[in-house]
Amino acid sequence: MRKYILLPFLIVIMAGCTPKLFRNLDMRPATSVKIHRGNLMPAFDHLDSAKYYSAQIDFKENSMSGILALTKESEGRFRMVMMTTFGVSLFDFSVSRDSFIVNSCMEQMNKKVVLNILEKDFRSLFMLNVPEHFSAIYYKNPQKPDWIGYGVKADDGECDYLIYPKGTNFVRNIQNGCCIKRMNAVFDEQVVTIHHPKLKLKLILTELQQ
Amino acid sequence: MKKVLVWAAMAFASLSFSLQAAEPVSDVADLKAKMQKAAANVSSIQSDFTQEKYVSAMGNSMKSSGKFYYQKENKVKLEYLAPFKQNLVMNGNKLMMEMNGKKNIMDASANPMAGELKKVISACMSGDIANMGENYQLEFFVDGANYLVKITPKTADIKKFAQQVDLYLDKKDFSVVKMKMIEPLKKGQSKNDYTEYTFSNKKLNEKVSDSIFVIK
Repeated sequence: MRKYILLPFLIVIMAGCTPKLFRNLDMRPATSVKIHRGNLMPAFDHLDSAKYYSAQIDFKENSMSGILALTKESEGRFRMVMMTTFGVSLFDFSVSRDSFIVNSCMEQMNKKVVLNILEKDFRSLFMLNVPEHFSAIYYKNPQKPDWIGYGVKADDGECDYLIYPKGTNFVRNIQNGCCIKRMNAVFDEQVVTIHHPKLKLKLILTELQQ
Repeated sequence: MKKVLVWAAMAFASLSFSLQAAEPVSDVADLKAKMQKAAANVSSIQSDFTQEKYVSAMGNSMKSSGKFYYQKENKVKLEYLAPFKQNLVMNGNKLMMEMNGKKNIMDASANPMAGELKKVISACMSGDIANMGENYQLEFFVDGANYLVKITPKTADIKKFAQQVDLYLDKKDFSVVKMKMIEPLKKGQSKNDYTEYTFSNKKLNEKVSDSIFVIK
């Protein structure tokens, strides 16, 4: 009898712990799984040669646009260069799991708080905030079998990955951090949107076909 | 056979060198006067352009192309058509970048760096470099078909964006053939990043609608 009394409380607690990303799809934690980072496919997976994106940064009422170039420097190390339309570099960073190098950065952006946000964002996007093998909580909704979720304790806090369709391991959505540090990345066909809702900061990347 | 190949290689190398070698202009004052006169006679320019942005870290370059418009005084527009549409408009003290329907307007008078950058780009693309001011050192060279003006910023603020600008002017009409903006060398790199604009199909002094340069 006691367990029937406790069950509703348990469900409420479990639902409360479910990350917002999965709660929206009514997904529930199912089990704990071991994952190899290389088996998940974020949008920036194929960077054997440089890829170029049109980039738009919206911060509150201000907007800035340019071009973002991404490449893989070596295994686990990525380089990103953002420049204006007419070619002036805005920033140039190298990021790996254990380092973040500012090769150049325009003065207005060269501030610790801005660099910290960008470092964290790029680490999440390239999945450099998790070790090669990691444990995750597996989320699912039997009504939506094509969607699966992984909740991970990353280096920089809770990080959630939404995969669709099941079997492709294509990462559609990443959510990282909470409150003011919350970042939500959505990967569409050729568009990546990185959103910090509390900071009113949005970065939209559209892949350019060369 | 081996000797022939070596000679051929040497001949090709010397030919390449002779094509690239540009000699200093002997009478700079005369050239400046001619350039100033030519610039005074140009009220508008329309042309096609290609832009090549070389990023050393990427190991390749990104190419764009579009239409270039210049209208005296102080109005410049770069209308990018490929690989995607975007606009860069300079009109008086204002500078506008437009991409994906979003406009970013800057007031150059309130942002000295943007103002200086606008001045350099506008002066170089229109070929009207006589009034660039004392913040730049100009060196003049000549080769077969072009004059080459090497523009070196003197102030540290501008040097952060451009280490040097190479401007190639057509000897016949002093119009800009090519402009290469070389960035300072970055940490851990052996090659400078640069942006190179090449202008073709130029039409001088043809009516350009004012509406092209509207910023709002």
